[in-house]
Amino acid sequence: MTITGTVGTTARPERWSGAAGTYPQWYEDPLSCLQTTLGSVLLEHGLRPVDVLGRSCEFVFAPGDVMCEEFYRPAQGDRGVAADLCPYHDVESAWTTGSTADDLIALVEEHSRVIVAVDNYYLPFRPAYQDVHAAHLVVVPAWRRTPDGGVEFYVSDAQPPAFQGWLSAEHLVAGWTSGNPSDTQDVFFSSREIGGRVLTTKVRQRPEEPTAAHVARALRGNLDRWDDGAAGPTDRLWSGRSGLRRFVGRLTEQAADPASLRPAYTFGWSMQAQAFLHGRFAQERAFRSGDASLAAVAASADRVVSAWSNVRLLCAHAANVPEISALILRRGEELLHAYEQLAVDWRLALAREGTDVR
Amino acid sequence: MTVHTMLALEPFLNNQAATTPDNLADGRLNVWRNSIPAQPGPLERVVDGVPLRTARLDGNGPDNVLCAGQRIEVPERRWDWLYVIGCGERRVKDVITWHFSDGSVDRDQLALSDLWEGRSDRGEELALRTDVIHYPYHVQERIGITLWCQRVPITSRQPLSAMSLPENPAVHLFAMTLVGQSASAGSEELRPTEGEPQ
Repeated sequence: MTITGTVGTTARPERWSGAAGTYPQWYEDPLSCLQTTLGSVLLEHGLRPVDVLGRSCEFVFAPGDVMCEEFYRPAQGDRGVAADLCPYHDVESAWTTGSTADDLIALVEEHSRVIVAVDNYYLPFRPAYQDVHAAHLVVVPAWRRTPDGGVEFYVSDAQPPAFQGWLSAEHLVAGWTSGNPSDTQDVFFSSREIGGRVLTTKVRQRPEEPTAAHVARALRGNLDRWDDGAAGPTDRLWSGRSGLRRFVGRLTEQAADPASLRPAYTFGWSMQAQAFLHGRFAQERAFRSGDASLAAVAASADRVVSAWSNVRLLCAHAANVPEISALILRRGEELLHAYEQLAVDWRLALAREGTDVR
Repeated sequence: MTVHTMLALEPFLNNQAATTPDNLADGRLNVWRNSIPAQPGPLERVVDGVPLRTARLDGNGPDNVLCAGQRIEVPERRWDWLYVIGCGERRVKDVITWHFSDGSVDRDQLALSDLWEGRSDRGEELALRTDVIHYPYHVQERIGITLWCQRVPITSRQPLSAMSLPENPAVHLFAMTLVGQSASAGSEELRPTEGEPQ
Protein backbone atom coordinates (compact mmCIF):
# COMPACT_ATOMS: atom_id res chain seq x y z
CA MET A 1 0.00 0.00 0.00
CA THR A 2 1.23 3.44 -0.82
CA ILE A 3 0.10 6.52 1.02
CA THR A 4 1.62 9.49 -0.66
CA GLY A 5 2.86 12.56 1.09
CA THR A 6 -0.33 14.37 0.26
CA VAL A 7 -1.98 13.39 3.55
CA GLY A 8 -2.64 16.52 5.52
CA THR A 9 -2.24 18.86 2.57
CA THR A 10 -4.95 20.45 0.52
CA ALA A 11 -3.33 19.97 -2.86
CA ARG A 12 -5.20 17.66 -5.16
CA PRO A 13 -2.69 15.22 -6.61
CA GLU A 14 -1.71 15.62 -10.19
CA ARG A 15 -3.34 13.12 -12.44
CA TRP A 16 -1.64 9.76 -12.04
CA SER A 17 0.58 9.14 -15.03
CA GLY A 18 2.70 6.17 -14.12
CA ALA A 19 5.78 8.36 -14.08
CA ALA A 20 5.74 8.51 -10.30
CA GLY A 21 5.74 4.75 -9.83
CA THR A 22 3.01 2.28 -9.06
CA TYR A 23 -0.66 3.05 -8.71
CA PRO A 24 -1.75 2.93 -5.04
CA GLN A 25 -3.28 -0.40 -4.07
CA TRP A 26 -4.97 -1.54 -0.91
CA TYR A 27 -6.24 -4.94 0.15
CA GLU A 28 -7.53 -6.75 3.23
CA ASP A 29 -8.94 -10.26 3.00
CA PRO A 30 -12.54 -9.35 3.97
CA LEU A 31 -12.79 -6.77 1.18
CA SER A 32 -14.31 -7.16 -2.24
CA CYS A 33 -13.21 -5.35 -5.36
CA LEU A 34 -15.80 -2.66 -4.63
CA GLN A 35 -13.90 -1.48 -1.56
CA THR A 36 -10.41 -2.12 -2.91
CA THR A 37 -11.00 -0.14 -6.11
CA LEU A 38 -12.66 2.76 -4.28
CA GLY A 39 -9.87 2.56 -1.70
CA SER A 40 -7.28 2.98 -4.45
CA VAL A 41 -9.06 6.06 -5.75
CA LEU A 42 -9.21 7.50 -2.22
CA LEU A 43 -5.49 6.82 -1.79
CA GLU A 44 -4.83 8.60 -5.05
CA HIS A 45 -6.49 11.65 -3.48
CA GLY A 46 -4.41 11.39 -0.33
CA LEU A 47 -7.20 9.93 1.79
CA ARG A 48 -6.84 6.91 4.08
CA PRO A 49 -9.43 4.32 2.97
CA VAL A 50 -10.11 3.11 6.51
CA ASP A 51 -10.84 6.68 7.67
CA VAL A 52 -13.33 7.21 4.85
CA LEU A 53 -14.86 3.79 4.13
CA GLY A 54 -14.75 2.74 7.78
CA ARG A 55 -17.08 5.32 9.27
CA SER A 56 -20.39 4.02 8.07
CA CYS A 57 -21.76 0.62 9.03
CA GLU A 58 -25.30 -0.35 8.25
CA PHE A 59 -27.59 -3.03 6.95
CA VAL A 60 -29.32 -2.42 3.66
CA PHE A 61 -30.86 -5.02 1.35
CA ALA A 62 -32.83 -4.72 -1.87
CA PRO A 63 -35.00 -7.85 -2.16
CA GLY A 64 -35.81 -7.23 -5.80
CA ASP A 65 -32.22 -6.95 -7.02
CA VAL A 66 -30.29 -9.59 -8.91
CA MET A 67 -27.12 -10.24 -6.94
CA CYS A 68 -24.47 -12.05 -8.91
CA GLU A 69 -21.46 -9.76 -8.90
CA GLU A 70 -18.60 -9.48 -6.45
CA PHE A 71 -19.12 -5.72 -6.36
CA TYR A 72 -22.89 -5.83 -5.86
CA ARG A 73 -24.27 -3.44 -3.29
CA PRO A 74 -27.85 -2.17 -3.10
CA ALA A 75 -28.12 1.33 -4.52
CA GLN A 76 -29.31 3.81 -1.92
CA GLY A 77 -28.86 7.51 -2.63
CA ASP A 78 -28.71 9.42 -5.89
CA ARG A 79 -24.98 10.17 -5.59
CA GLY A 80 -23.86 6.66 -6.35
CA VAL A 81 -22.37 3.74 -4.51
CA ALA A 82 -19.29 5.73 -3.46
CA ALA A 83 -21.51 8.24 -1.65
CA ASP A 84 -23.52 5.37 -0.13
CA LEU A 85 -20.29 3.94 1.27
CA CYS A 86 -18.82 7.31 2.31
CA PRO A 87 -21.79 9.30 3.66
CA TYR A 88 -19.57 11.48 5.81
CA HIS A 89 -17.28 12.62 2.99
CA ASP A 90 -17.60 14.55 -0.23
CA VAL A 91 -17.28 11.53 -2.49
CA GLU A 92 -19.67 10.40 -5.17
CA SER A 93 -19.84 8.08 -8.15
CA ALA A 94 -21.93 7.29 -11.19
CA TRP A 95 -22.23 4.31 -13.50
CA THR A 96 -21.89 4.91 -17.21
CA THR A 97 -21.27 2.64 -20.15
CA GLY A 98 -19.20 2.39 -23.30
CA SER A 99 -18.28 -0.26 -25.80
CA THR A 100 -15.06 0.60 -27.60
CA ALA A 101 -11.47 1.40 -26.68
CA ASP A 102 -12.10 4.98 -27.82
CA ASP A 103 -15.04 5.21 -25.41
CA LEU A 104 -12.80 4.09 -22.59
CA ILE A 105 -10.04 6.51 -23.58
CA ALA A 106 -12.57 9.33 -23.49
CA LEU A 107 -13.76 8.29 -20.05
CA VAL A 108 -10.21 8.11 -18.69
CA GLU A 109 -9.46 11.52 -20.18
CA GLU A 110 -12.60 13.03 -18.67
CA HIS A 111 -12.38 11.49 -15.21
CA SER A 112 -8.62 10.99 -14.74
CA ARG A 113 -9.22 7.40 -13.66
CA VAL A 114 -12.20 5.10 -13.90
CA ILE A 115 -13.27 1.86 -12.27
CA VAL A 116 -14.04 -0.64 -14.99
CA ALA A 117 -16.30 -3.67 -14.70
CA VAL A 118 -14.74 -6.75 -16.29
CA ASP A 119 -15.23 -10.45 -16.79
CA ASN A 120 -12.17 -12.17 -15.34
CA TYR A 121 -12.33 -14.76 -18.09
CA TYR A 122 -10.57 -12.28 -20.41
CA LEU A 123 -7.91 -10.90 -18.07
CA PRO A 124 -4.57 -12.76 -18.29
CA PHE A 125 -3.60 -11.86 -14.72
CA ARG A 126 -6.75 -13.28 -13.11
CA PRO A 127 -6.94 -16.91 -11.93
CA ALA A 128 -10.17 -17.27 -13.90
CA TYR A 129 -8.47 -16.37 -17.22
CA GLN A 130 -9.77 -18.55 -20.03
CA ASP A 131 -11.43 -20.69 -17.38
CA VAL A 132 -14.30 -19.12 -15.45
CA HIS A 133 -16.64 -16.22 -16.16
CA ALA A 134 -16.84 -13.92 -13.14
CA ALA A 135 -17.58 -10.23 -12.71
CA HIS A 136 -14.92 -8.00 -11.17
CA LEU A 137 -13.75 -4.37 -10.91
CA VAL A 138 -10.35 -2.91 -11.76
CA VAL A 139 -9.03 0.65 -11.75
CA VAL A 140 -7.86 2.12 -15.05
CA PRO A 141 -5.91 5.34 -14.39
CA ALA A 142 -4.17 5.80 -17.73
CA TRP A 143 -3.91 4.80 -21.38
CA ARG A 144 -1.23 5.07 -24.06
CA ARG A 145 -0.52 4.35 -27.68
CA THR A 146 2.05 1.70 -28.46
CA PRO A 147 4.73 2.18 -31.14
CA ASP A 148 2.75 -0.02 -33.52
CA GLY A 149 -0.34 2.15 -33.17
CA GLY A 150 -2.20 -0.06 -30.72
CA VAL A 151 -3.77 1.08 -27.48
CA GLU A 152 -2.93 -0.09 -23.98
CA PHE A 153 -4.64 0.70 -20.69
CA TYR A 154 -2.96 0.75 -17.30
CA VAL A 155 -4.87 -1.69 -15.11
CA SER A 156 -4.67 -1.90 -11.33
CA ASP A 157 -6.20 -4.84 -9.46
CA ALA A 158 -5.40 -5.11 -5.75
CA GLN A 159 -7.24 -8.41 -5.27
CA PRO A 160 -4.83 -11.37 -5.11
CA PRO A 161 -2.79 -12.20 -7.05
CA ALA A 162 -2.55 -8.37 -7.27
CA PHE A 163 -1.59 -6.97 -10.63
CA GLN A 164 -0.85 -3.63 -12.13
CA GLY A 165 0.57 -2.81 -15.49
CA TRP A 166 -0.20 -2.09 -19.11
CA LEU A 167 -2.71 -4.33 -20.78
CA SER A 168 -3.71 -4.38 -24.42
CA ALA A 169 -7.03 -2.75 -25.23
CA GLU A 170 -8.05 -6.01 -26.84
CA HIS A 171 -7.94 -7.91 -23.53
CA LEU A 172 -9.52 -5.19 -21.45
CA VAL A 173 -12.32 -4.37 -23.87
CA ALA A 174 -13.13 -8.07 -24.29
CA GLY A 175 -13.58 -8.35 -20.52
CA TRP A 176 -15.40 -5.03 -20.32
CA THR A 177 -17.97 -5.93 -22.95
CA SER A 178 -18.36 -9.59 -22.03
CA GLY A 179 -21.75 -11.19 -21.78
CA ASN A 180 -20.42 -12.93 -18.64
CA PRO A 181 -22.57 -15.97 -19.30
CA SER A 182 -23.83 -18.20 -16.55
CA ASP A 183 -20.96 -20.42 -15.41
CA THR A 184 -21.41 -23.55 -13.35
CA GLN A 185 -17.93 -23.06 -11.90
CA ASP A 186 -18.97 -19.72 -10.49
CA VAL A 187 -22.66 -19.59 -9.82
CA PHE A 188 -22.13 -16.63 -7.51
CA PHE A 189 -20.48 -14.08 -9.77
CA SER A 190 -21.52 -15.02 -13.30
CA SER A 191 -24.63 -14.62 -15.44
CA ARG A 192 -25.00 -10.87 -15.54
CA GLU A 193 -23.73 -9.08 -18.63
CA ILE A 194 -20.78 -6.77 -17.94
CA GLY A 195 -22.13 -4.50 -20.64
CA GLY A 196 -19.33 -1.96 -20.81
CA ARG A 197 -20.05 -0.57 -17.36
CA VAL A 198 -17.72 2.02 -15.86
CA LEU A 199 -17.88 3.60 -12.43
CA THR A 200 -16.73 7.20 -12.44
CA THR A 201 -15.87 8.91 -9.18
CA LYS A 202 -15.62 12.43 -7.84
CA VAL A 203 -13.53 12.94 -4.72
CA ARG A 204 -13.64 16.53 -3.53
CA GLN A 205 -12.86 15.66 0.06
CA ARG A 206 -9.63 17.10 1.44
CA PRO A 207 -7.51 14.88 3.65
CA GLU A 208 -8.05 15.50 7.35
CA GLU A 209 -7.32 13.65 10.56
CA PRO A 210 -10.54 12.28 12.08
CA THR A 211 -11.58 14.15 15.23
CA ALA A 212 -13.71 12.99 18.14
CA ALA A 213 -16.57 14.99 16.62
CA HIS A 214 -16.16 13.13 13.32
CA VAL A 215 -16.29 9.82 15.14
CA ALA A 216 -19.36 10.82 17.13
CA ARG A 217 -21.13 11.99 13.97
CA ALA A 218 -20.43 8.66 12.29
CA LEU A 219 -21.65 6.61 15.25
CA ARG A 220 -24.74 8.81 15.58
CA GLY A 221 -25.56 8.31 11.91
CA ASN A 222 -25.00 4.58 12.11
CA LEU A 223 -27.20 4.30 15.18
CA ASP A 224 -29.95 6.38 13.59
CA ARG A 225 -29.92 4.30 10.42
CA TRP A 226 -30.10 1.14 12.52
CA ASP A 227 -32.99 2.43 14.64
CA ASP A 228 -34.87 4.10 11.80
CA GLY A 229 -34.57 1.30 9.25
CA ALA A 230 -37.60 0.15 7.35
CA ALA A 231 -38.84 -3.00 5.66
CA GLY A 232 -42.40 -2.30 4.70
CA PRO A 233 -44.29 -4.01 1.90
CA THR A 234 -43.58 -1.16 -0.53
CA ASP A 235 -40.00 -0.41 0.53
CA ARG A 236 -37.47 -1.08 -2.22
CA LEU A 237 -34.77 -1.23 0.45
CA TRP A 238 -34.92 -3.15 3.69
CA SER A 239 -32.66 -1.33 6.10
CA GLY A 240 -31.53 -1.13 9.68
CA ARG A 241 -32.94 -3.31 12.43
CA SER A 242 -36.30 -3.78 10.70
CA GLY A 243 -34.60 -4.63 7.44
CA LEU A 244 -32.26 -7.20 8.94
CA ARG A 245 -35.13 -8.82 10.86
CA ARG A 246 -37.08 -9.20 7.66
CA PHE A 247 -33.99 -10.41 5.79
CA VAL A 248 -33.38 -13.10 8.40
CA GLY A 249 -37.02 -14.15 8.21
CA ARG A 250 -36.68 -14.38 4.44
CA LEU A 251 -33.57 -16.58 4.74
CA THR A 252 -35.50 -18.91 7.02
CA GLU A 253 -38.28 -19.17 4.45
CA GLN A 254 -35.78 -19.72 1.63
CA ALA A 255 -34.11 -22.60 3.45
CA ALA A 256 -36.70 -24.91 1.89
CA ASP A 257 -34.96 -24.23 -1.43
CA PRO A 258 -31.23 -24.14 -0.65
CA ALA A 259 -30.24 -22.76 -4.07
CA SER A 260 -32.29 -19.66 -3.35
CA LEU A 261 -29.96 -18.86 -0.44
CA ARG A 262 -26.94 -18.37 -2.73
CA PRO A 263 -27.41 -14.64 -3.36
CA ALA A 264 -26.94 -14.02 0.36
CA TYR A 265 -23.32 -15.07 -0.10
CA THR A 266 -22.81 -12.43 -2.77
CA PHE A 267 -24.87 -9.71 -1.13
CA GLY A 268 -23.32 -10.29 2.28
CA TRP A 269 -19.84 -9.54 1.03
CA SER A 270 -20.40 -5.80 0.82
CA MET A 271 -22.08 -5.69 4.24
CA GLN A 272 -19.33 -7.80 5.79
CA ALA A 273 -16.56 -5.72 4.25
CA GLN A 274 -18.14 -2.53 5.56
CA ALA A 275 -18.43 -3.96 9.07
CA PHE A 276 -14.78 -5.00 8.89
CA LEU A 277 -13.68 -1.50 7.89
CA HIS A 278 -15.84 0.07 10.58
CA GLY A 279 -14.24 -2.20 13.16
CA ARG A 280 -10.79 -1.29 11.91
CA PHE A 281 -11.66 2.41 12.04
CA ALA A 282 -13.02 2.14 15.60
CA GLN A 283 -10.01 0.09 16.64
CA GLU A 284 -7.59 2.70 15.33
CA ARG A 285 -9.49 5.56 17.00
CA ALA A 286 -9.70 3.61 20.26
CA PHE A 287 -5.99 2.88 20.15
CA ARG A 288 -5.17 6.55 19.66
CA SER A 289 -7.65 7.96 22.16
CA GLY A 290 -7.64 5.22 24.79
CA ASP A 291 -11.43 5.30 24.65
CA ALA A 292 -12.60 1.89 25.87
CA SER A 293 -16.07 2.43 24.49
CA LEU A 294 -14.62 2.72 20.98
CA ALA A 295 -12.66 -0.47 21.58
CA ALA A 296 -15.99 -2.10 22.43
CA VAL A 297 -17.38 -0.84 19.11
CA ALA A 298 -14.40 -2.41 17.36
CA ALA A 299 -14.90 -5.76 19.07
CA SER A 300 -18.62 -5.75 18.33
CA ALA A 301 -18.01 -4.89 14.69
CA ASP A 302 -15.66 -7.87 14.51
CA ARG A 303 -18.50 -10.07 15.74
CA VAL A 304 -20.65 -8.74 12.92
CA VAL A 305 -17.88 -9.68 10.48
CA SER A 306 -17.75 -13.22 11.88
CA ALA A 307 -21.53 -13.54 11.92
CA TRP A 308 -21.57 -12.57 8.25
CA SER A 309 -19.02 -15.29 7.46
CA ASN A 310 -21.27 -17.81 9.16
CA VAL A 311 -24.36 -16.66 7.26
CA ARG A 312 -22.61 -16.24 3.91
CA LEU A 313 -20.84 -19.58 3.89
CA LEU A 314 -23.83 -21.46 5.21
CA CYS A 315 -25.88 -20.00 2.35
CA ALA A 316 -23.16 -20.79 -0.18
CA HIS A 317 -22.92 -24.41 0.96
CA ALA A 318 -26.60 -24.80 1.81
CA ALA A 319 -27.27 -27.52 -0.75
CA ASN A 320 -24.78 -29.79 1.05
CA VAL A 321 -25.79 -28.97 4.61
CA PRO A 322 -28.26 -31.24 6.41
CA GLU A 323 -30.78 -29.51 8.63
CA ILE A 324 -30.25 -26.24 6.84
CA SER A 325 -33.50 -24.80 8.18
CA ALA A 326 -32.44 -25.04 11.80
CA LEU A 327 -28.96 -23.76 11.07
CA ILE A 328 -30.07 -20.80 9.02
CA LEU A 329 -32.29 -19.72 11.89
CA ARG A 330 -29.35 -19.95 14.28
CA ARG A 331 -27.00 -18.03 12.00
CA GLY A 332 -29.55 -15.41 11.07
CA GLU A 333 -30.31 -14.69 14.70
CA GLU A 334 -26.59 -14.61 15.45
CA LEU A 335 -26.18 -11.90 12.80
CA LEU A 336 -29.11 -9.91 14.14
CA HIS A 337 -27.75 -10.17 17.65
CA ALA A 338 -24.29 -9.09 16.51
CA TYR A 339 -25.63 -5.93 14.86
CA GLU A 340 -27.85 -5.22 17.87
CA GLN A 341 -24.86 -5.48 20.17
CA LEU A 342 -22.89 -3.18 17.90
CA ALA A 343 -25.76 -0.68 18.07
CA VAL A 344 -25.66 -0.84 21.86
CA ASP A 345 -21.95 -0.09 21.74
CA TRP A 346 -22.54 2.86 19.40
CA ARG A 347 -25.07 4.16 21.92
CA LEU A 348 -22.72 3.69 24.86
CA ALA A 349 -19.82 5.30 23.01
CA LEU A 350 -22.01 8.28 22.20
CA ALA A 351 -23.15 8.53 25.80
CA ARG A 352 -19.53 8.65 26.84
CA GLU A 353 -18.96 11.44 24.34
CA GLY A 354 -21.66 13.39 26.15
CA THR A 355 -23.67 13.39 22.98
CA ASP A 356 -27.43 13.40 23.20
CA VAL A 357 -28.65 9.82 23.12
CA ARG A 358 -32.27 9.08 22.48
CA MET B 1 4.59 -29.24 33.33
CA THR B 2 2.02 -30.05 30.77
CA VAL B 3 0.61 -33.17 29.29
CA HIS B 4 -1.05 -33.40 25.95
CA THR B 5 -2.97 -35.78 23.78
CA MET B 6 -3.20 -35.64 20.02
CA LEU B 7 -6.76 -36.49 19.07
CA ALA B 8 -7.21 -39.06 16.35
CA LEU B 9 -9.23 -37.33 13.65
CA GLU B 10 -9.18 -40.19 11.15
CA PRO B 11 -12.73 -41.33 11.98
CA PHE B 12 -14.00 -37.81 11.31
CA LEU B 13 -12.20 -36.90 8.07
CA ASN B 14 -14.91 -35.76 5.67
CA ASN B 15 -13.32 -33.17 3.40
CA GLN B 16 -10.45 -33.09 0.94
CA ALA B 17 -8.08 -30.11 1.13
CA ALA B 18 -5.09 -31.47 -0.81
CA THR B 19 -4.99 -32.48 -4.45
CA THR B 20 -2.39 -33.45 -7.02
CA PRO B 21 -2.20 -32.19 -10.61
CA ASP B 22 -4.05 -35.37 -11.54
CA ASN B 23 -7.12 -34.79 -9.38
CA LEU B 24 -7.36 -31.01 -9.09
CA ALA B 25 -11.14 -31.12 -9.26
CA ASP B 26 -11.43 -33.21 -6.08
CA GLY B 27 -10.57 -30.30 -3.75
CA ARG B 28 -13.31 -28.97 -1.50
CA LEU B 29 -11.69 -26.26 0.61
CA ASN B 30 -14.19 -23.60 -0.44
CA VAL B 31 -17.06 -22.83 -2.78
CA TRP B 32 -14.61 -22.46 -5.66
CA ARG B 33 -13.30 -25.98 -4.96
CA ASN B 34 -9.81 -24.64 -4.37
CA SER B 35 -7.27 -26.95 -2.78
CA ILE B 36 -3.68 -27.09 -1.59
CA PRO B 37 -0.93 -28.96 -3.38
CA ALA B 38 -0.41 -32.41 -1.89
CA GLN B 39 2.29 -32.46 0.79
CA PRO B 40 4.99 -35.10 1.17
CA GLY B 41 3.55 -36.24 4.49
CA PRO B 42 1.47 -35.10 7.44
CA LEU B 43 2.20 -31.58 8.68
CA GLU B 44 3.92 -31.66 12.03
CA ARG B 45 4.14 -28.44 13.97
CA VAL B 46 5.05 -27.51 17.53
CA VAL B 47 3.43 -24.38 18.96
CA ASP B 48 4.11 -23.26 22.53
CA GLY B 49 5.71 -26.67 23.02
CA VAL B 50 2.48 -28.36 21.92
CA PRO B 51 2.81 -30.85 19.05
CA LEU B 52 0.25 -30.90 16.27
CA ARG B 53 0.06 -33.47 13.51
CA THR B 54 -2.34 -33.61 10.60
CA ALA B 55 -3.53 -36.59 8.66
CA ARG B 56 -1.62 -37.35 5.48
CA LEU B 57 -2.10 -34.60 2.92
CA ASP B 58 -1.23 -36.71 -0.10
CA GLY B 59 -4.16 -35.62 -2.23
CA ASN B 60 -5.82 -38.99 -1.96
CA GLY B 61 -9.14 -38.72 -0.19
CA PRO B 62 -10.39 -36.87 2.87
CA ASP B 63 -7.70 -35.21 4.97
CA ASN B 64 -9.54 -32.75 7.23
CA VAL B 65 -12.68 -32.31 9.27
CA LEU B 66 -15.31 -29.97 7.91
CA CYS B 67 -17.16 -28.97 11.05
CA ALA B 68 -20.67 -30.40 11.15
CA GLY B 69 -21.33 -30.81 14.86
CA GLN B 70 -19.20 -33.93 15.28
CA ARG B 71 -18.89 -35.18 18.85
CA ILE B 72 -15.37 -36.27 19.76
CA GLU B 73 -14.71 -38.23 22.93
CA VAL B 74 -11.51 -37.29 24.73
CA PRO B 75 -9.39 -38.88 27.46
CA GLU B 76 -11.24 -37.84 30.58
CA ARG B 77 -9.38 -35.36 32.73
CA ARG B 78 -9.10 -31.66 33.21
CA TRP B 79 -7.76 -30.02 30.05
CA ASP B 80 -6.80 -26.34 29.68
CA TRP B 81 -6.38 -25.72 25.97
CA LEU B 82 -7.28 -27.19 22.63
CA TYR B 83 -4.61 -26.46 20.03
CA VAL B 84 -5.64 -26.87 16.42
CA ILE B 85 -4.42 -26.59 12.86
CA GLY B 86 -7.28 -25.20 10.84
CA CYS B 87 -8.53 -22.55 8.48
CA GLY B 88 -11.67 -20.61 7.76
CA GLU B 89 -13.40 -20.05 4.47
CA ARG B 90 -13.29 -16.33 5.18
CA ARG B 91 -12.47 -15.21 8.72
CA VAL B 92 -14.62 -17.21 11.08
CA LYS B 93 -15.52 -17.30 14.74
CA ASP B 94 -17.58 -20.06 16.18
CA VAL B 95 -17.77 -22.11 19.35
CA ILE B 96 -16.54 -25.46 20.55
CA THR B 97 -19.00 -27.07 22.95
CA TRP B 98 -17.41 -28.87 25.89
CA HIS B 99 -19.13 -31.81 27.58
CA PHE B 100 -17.83 -32.33 31.11
CA SER B 101 -17.87 -35.48 33.18
CA ASP B 102 -20.39 -34.08 35.65
CA GLY B 103 -22.88 -33.37 32.85
CA SER B 104 -22.18 -29.65 32.66
CA VAL B 105 -21.79 -28.03 29.27
CA ASP B 106 -19.90 -24.92 28.25
CA ARG B 107 -18.65 -23.22 25.11
CA ASP B 108 -15.49 -21.37 24.20
CA GLN B 109 -14.67 -19.48 21.08
CA LEU B 110 -12.72 -20.82 18.11
CA ALA B 111 -11.39 -18.09 15.80
CA LEU B 112 -9.69 -18.91 12.52
CA SER B 113 -8.36 -16.64 9.82
CA ASP B 114 -9.07 -16.88 6.12
CA LEU B 115 -7.50 -19.69 4.12
CA TRP B 116 -7.44 -17.69 0.84
CA GLU B 117 -4.60 -15.13 0.92
CA GLY B 118 -5.61 -14.58 4.51
CA ARG B 119 -4.04 -12.32 7.06
CA SER B 120 -4.26 -12.99 10.76
CA ASP B 121 -5.25 -10.36 13.28
CA ARG B 122 -5.19 -12.97 16.01
CA GLY B 123 -1.56 -13.83 16.44
CA GLU B 124 -1.93 -17.22 14.82
CA GLU B 125 1.21 -18.97 13.62
CA LEU B 126 1.38 -20.40 10.14
CA ALA B 127 0.97 -24.14 9.88
CA LEU B 128 1.33 -23.99 6.11
CA ARG B 129 1.50 -21.28 3.49
CA THR B 130 1.45 -22.51 -0.07
CA ASP B 131 2.98 -20.72 -3.06
CA VAL B 132 0.25 -21.82 -5.40
CA ILE B 133 -3.42 -22.65 -5.18
CA HIS B 134 -5.17 -25.45 -6.98
CA TYR B 135 -8.28 -24.65 -8.99
CA PRO B 136 -10.45 -27.42 -10.44
CA TYR B 137 -8.82 -27.02 -13.85
CA HIS B 138 -5.52 -25.28 -13.30
CA VAL B 139 -2.73 -24.52 -10.86
CA GLN B 140 -2.64 -20.83 -9.99
CA GLU B 141 0.63 -19.18 -9.06
CA ARG B 142 1.01 -16.14 -6.81
CA ILE B 143 -1.98 -16.98 -4.63
CA GLY B 144 -1.44 -18.88 -1.41
CA ILE B 145 -3.55 -20.91 0.95
CA THR B 146 -2.80 -20.70 4.63
CA LEU B 147 -3.46 -23.23 7.33
CA TRP B 148 -3.23 -21.67 10.78
CA CYS B 149 -2.16 -22.86 14.22
CA GLN B 150 -4.72 -21.65 16.73
CA ARG B 151 -5.79 -22.44 20.28
CA VAL B 152 -9.08 -22.51 22.17
CA PRO B 153 -9.28 -22.13 25.94
CA ILE B 154 -11.25 -24.57 28.04
CA THR B 155 -12.45 -22.15 30.66
CA SER B 156 -14.27 -24.59 32.91
CA ARG B 157 -12.00 -26.53 35.24
CA GLN B 158 -14.26 -29.57 35.28
CA PRO B 159 -12.93 -32.86 33.93
CA LEU B 160 -13.71 -32.98 30.21
CA SER B 161 -15.15 -36.03 28.54
CA ALA B 162 -16.06 -34.91 25.03
CA MET B 163 -16.40 -31.94 22.71
CA SER B 164 -18.76 -31.02 19.91
CA LEU B 165 -17.47 -29.16 16.90
CA PRO B 166 -19.52 -26.30 15.53
CA GLU B 167 -21.99 -26.87 12.72
CA ASN B 168 -20.20 -24.65 10.27
CA PRO B 169 -19.18 -25.49 6.68
CA ALA B 170 -16.67 -22.63 6.76
CA VAL B 171 -14.47 -24.27 9.42
CA HIS B 172 -11.82 -26.85 8.50
CA LEU B 173 -9.77 -28.62 11.16
CA PHE B 174 -6.66 -30.65 10.33
CA ALA B 175 -5.18 -31.43 13.74
CA MET B 176 -6.25 -31.19 17.37
CA THR B 177 -4.19 -31.55 20.53
CA LEU B 178 -5.47 -31.13 24.08
CA VAL B 179 -3.13 -29.66 26.67
CA GLY B 180 -3.44 -29.78 30.44
CA GLN B 181 -1.43 -29.44 33.57
CA SER B 182 0.52 -32.48 34.66
CA ALA B 183 -0.80 -34.10 37.82
CA SER B 184 2.72 -34.07 39.20
CA ALA B 185 3.39 -31.33 41.71
CA GLY B 186 6.56 -29.46 42.38
CA SER B 187 9.46 -29.21 40.04
CA GLU B 188 9.61 -32.77 38.94
CA GLU B 189 10.80 -32.86 35.37
CA LEU B 190 8.13 -34.63 33.37
CA ARG B 191 8.43 -34.98 29.66
CA PRO B 192 5.22 -34.27 27.81
CA THR B 193 3.73 -37.56 26.80
CA GLU B 194 1.39 -38.45 24.06
CA GLY B 195 -1.89 -39.84 25.18
CA GLU B 196 -3.50 -39.88 28.55
CA PRO B 197 -0.90 -40.29 31.29
CA GLN B 198 -1.89 -43.05 33.69
